[in-house]
Amino acid sequence: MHELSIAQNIVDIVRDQMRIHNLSKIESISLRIGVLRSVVIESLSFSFDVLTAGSPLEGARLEVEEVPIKGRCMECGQRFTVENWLDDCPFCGGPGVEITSGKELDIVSIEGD
Amino acid sequence: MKIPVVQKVLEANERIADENRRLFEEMDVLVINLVSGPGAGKTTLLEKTIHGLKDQYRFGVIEGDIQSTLDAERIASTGIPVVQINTGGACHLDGNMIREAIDNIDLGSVDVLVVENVGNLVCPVEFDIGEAFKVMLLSVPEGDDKPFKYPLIFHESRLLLINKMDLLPYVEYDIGKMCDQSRKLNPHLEIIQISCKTGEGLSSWFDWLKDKVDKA
Repeated sequence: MHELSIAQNIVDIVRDQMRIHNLSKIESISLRIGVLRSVVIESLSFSFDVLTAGSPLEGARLEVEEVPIKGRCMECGQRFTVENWLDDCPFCGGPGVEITSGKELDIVSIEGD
Repeated sequence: MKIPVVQKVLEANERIADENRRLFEEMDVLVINLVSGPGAGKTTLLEKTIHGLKDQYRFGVIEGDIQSTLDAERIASTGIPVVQINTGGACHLDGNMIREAIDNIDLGSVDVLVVENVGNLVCPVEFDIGEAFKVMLLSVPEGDDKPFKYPLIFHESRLLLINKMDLLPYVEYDIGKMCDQSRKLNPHLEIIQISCKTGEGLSSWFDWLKDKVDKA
């Protein structure tokens, strides 16, 4: 259940932004979450709803862009999307992959008044 | 009104973890974040490690559990300083919990601080605590399917210890497949096969740890 801690961090960041930009209501929060993070979006939304009930963040939508795992072959340097960890490099057959994306856990923007 | 933010969600934790890391470096303490599922043998590994190396290095331990002080009592009986963190439900330790716990440890008289994280292969990986290395511990009876169920921990760990090797003849477990798939997830991962029961492989683990302490 790391979703609860992650939701709490999102709430803290959004509250700071509301103060800075003088917002009283939040419509939506846009997030980028890498597949490697194993975040269950339903649990994240549920945790967020529980944490924000009765607050100015209540009812805000979490808009999540899931970022696929991408890697770079350690042999030939080609970049590709990692569909299955068992697969070798689709270009040269090399076994080693360096991960280049899929670990994101970012707030991108918030929308409110 | 749309406001671009572009901020890491866990930035607050990462800031505290970086402060911890700087403090550990200043105080010359090697911090290991020991991560495993429940029952893989983290506490027994710690007991064996302390027993084997306590004449050479001064150890300290932080025990993370949702509840109870059972593990801390086991470690305390070895005579080394230990702090128990009860997370009260949280499934992982974070930077702030460690910052508070180290107030209760004299870092000046510790060479190696091992943080035994809450038994869980998912959540502890998300939360940096300021460690030098993550060491992950698996055990043979858990099965050989872990790499594809929990890829991030393999990716983030420096060393994989596979414990309970003495049980290999009794369970369906393909050790070759396990090692191949683990290295597939992390080509830099080091792997040591051990048994805390028979002592198999423990000297290799001790050598690994000694190498890291001496270089720190």
